[in-house]
Amino acid sequence: MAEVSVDITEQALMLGQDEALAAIVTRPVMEAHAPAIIILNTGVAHRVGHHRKFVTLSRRLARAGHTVVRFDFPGLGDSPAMTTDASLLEGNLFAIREVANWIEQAFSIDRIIMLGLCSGADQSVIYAGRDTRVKGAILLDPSIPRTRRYHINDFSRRIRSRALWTNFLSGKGRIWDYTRSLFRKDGAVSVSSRQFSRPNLEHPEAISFLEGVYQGAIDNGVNLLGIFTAGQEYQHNYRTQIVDALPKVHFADRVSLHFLRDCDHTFIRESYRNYMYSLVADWLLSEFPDDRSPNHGVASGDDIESMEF
Amino acid sequence: MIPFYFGSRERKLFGVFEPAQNGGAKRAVLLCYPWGYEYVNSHRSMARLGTLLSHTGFHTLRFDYYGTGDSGGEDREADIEGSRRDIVTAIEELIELSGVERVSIVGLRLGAMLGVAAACEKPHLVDRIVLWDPVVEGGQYLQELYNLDDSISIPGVGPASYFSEELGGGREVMGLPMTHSVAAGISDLDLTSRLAQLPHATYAVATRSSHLQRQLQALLEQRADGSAFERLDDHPAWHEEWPENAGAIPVAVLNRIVSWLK
Repeated sequence: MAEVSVDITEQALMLGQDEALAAIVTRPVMEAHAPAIIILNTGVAHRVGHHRKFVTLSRRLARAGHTVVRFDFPGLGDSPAMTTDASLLEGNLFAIREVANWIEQAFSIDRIIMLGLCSGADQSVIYAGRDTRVKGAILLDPSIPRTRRYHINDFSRRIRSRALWTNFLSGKGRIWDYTRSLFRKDGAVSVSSRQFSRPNLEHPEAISFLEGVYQGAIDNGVNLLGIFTAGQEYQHNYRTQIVDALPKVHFADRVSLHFLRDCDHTFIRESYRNYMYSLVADWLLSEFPDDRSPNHGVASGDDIESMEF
Repeated sequence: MIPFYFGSRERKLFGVFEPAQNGGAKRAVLLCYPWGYEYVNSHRSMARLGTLLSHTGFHTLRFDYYGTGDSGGEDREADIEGSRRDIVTAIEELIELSGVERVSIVGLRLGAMLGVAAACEKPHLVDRIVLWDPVVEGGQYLQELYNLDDSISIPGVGPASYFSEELGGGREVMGLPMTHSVAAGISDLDLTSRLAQLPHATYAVATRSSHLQRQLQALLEQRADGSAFERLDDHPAWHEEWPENAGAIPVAVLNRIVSWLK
């Protein structure tokens, strides 16, 4: 079941009470006591992640001394769907707890760091407030409300956009679509194929929920690394937006924030991914400096050598 | 469902084996994934197809080529000839796991082309082939990938990087390295000439029309061994037009593949 390299090993297995969670465990061959890292699905993509980034990241983190588990929520990837009365969110949080329990039983590691992108980031921070074993959460493009400064930045960006003026002069785009709709008999506004529904995070209830989630994680002793990309420009566009958007949360020095202006949501370019890996590595070293294997840092893994032991 | 690693020590492959659910099954199916960005997009549909086949009474194995997915190797270690050899390894693994003498192959996109290439090497180990939205001509496919990457219009995304010879040369394509070696391997592939060498009954299903698909249709319809070509109006499992078809599974295609294999 296990693939072994000189310094790390990978194991495929089904975890949980019903052995229904497909997972890959990547860890150093040498015993290490650094916190374990649990990587969650992004939307409906399976645990490998877009552009294989969670495989590469798992291997690099394992070389730095971490036990890393990437797994599929029930009904995603290689994990079968489960019949349950629980909501999707509660079912997924239960699955994370099963993985954390397995890590503690199998390796006697009781410090966990959550890592996720998009929906995976949202579920990471929600879980972080519910399990005292969680000591850190690495959030890649989590969902946060837009703020007044967001809208000013967005207006400024749009007004300077060549596309806006090109569309305006050529009669294309949303402004003209809207104007034309006013003169239609039925008054219907045409729906652009690029539009999609998303939750209204600016609603007071949503803000209150998110404030509770983030404050809960912080009260639980969790340190946060937030990495935001320009790929979610419809939702966030500056580094400290989360602090402005959730004013009742006492972030203090518990959060480290980055905004990657030249990076998309899935980290499609290798250089973006490498930069993200280095931010994660630096943060882990600064927040959890003890109990590491001899291989400090997150080195490139191009020289994997396979051998049995 | 059994996730496991197989293959040699130097070339570990990740696979998921699903035993036939009806007991006493005498048939097995190997699923061959597409490459690159198409792999992630199609994983959900391929997993669903594996489960459907398993429930219908087929042993199924799907696996990641070396240097892709959860298999060993880094991105740059993936190569076309190696992937073809990985399919041969997987055929042998599936025969050993299931106890059958021959397996059927279902290949999606480049996986269809590689599946046919592997079947040419071990024709006695293969009984039927399904080509799902197959790549027909490697050179054209490669150009389509370059064009797709060059046309990316996503906030934050700059132009693709080009790599030094030290890193295998070539350039990025949709999030993964297209090294000189991989590009040359893809360019050399030609489905119709390979297919003409194979005696196996073949079913091709296409969700998009092209002149190359029509050539394939003509080739298959000449044969009198049960081979067939079908055009179905369904989602391309391998291409995501986010958010319109994110996570959508082409149910009609999956059902048709299962019924043809039955």
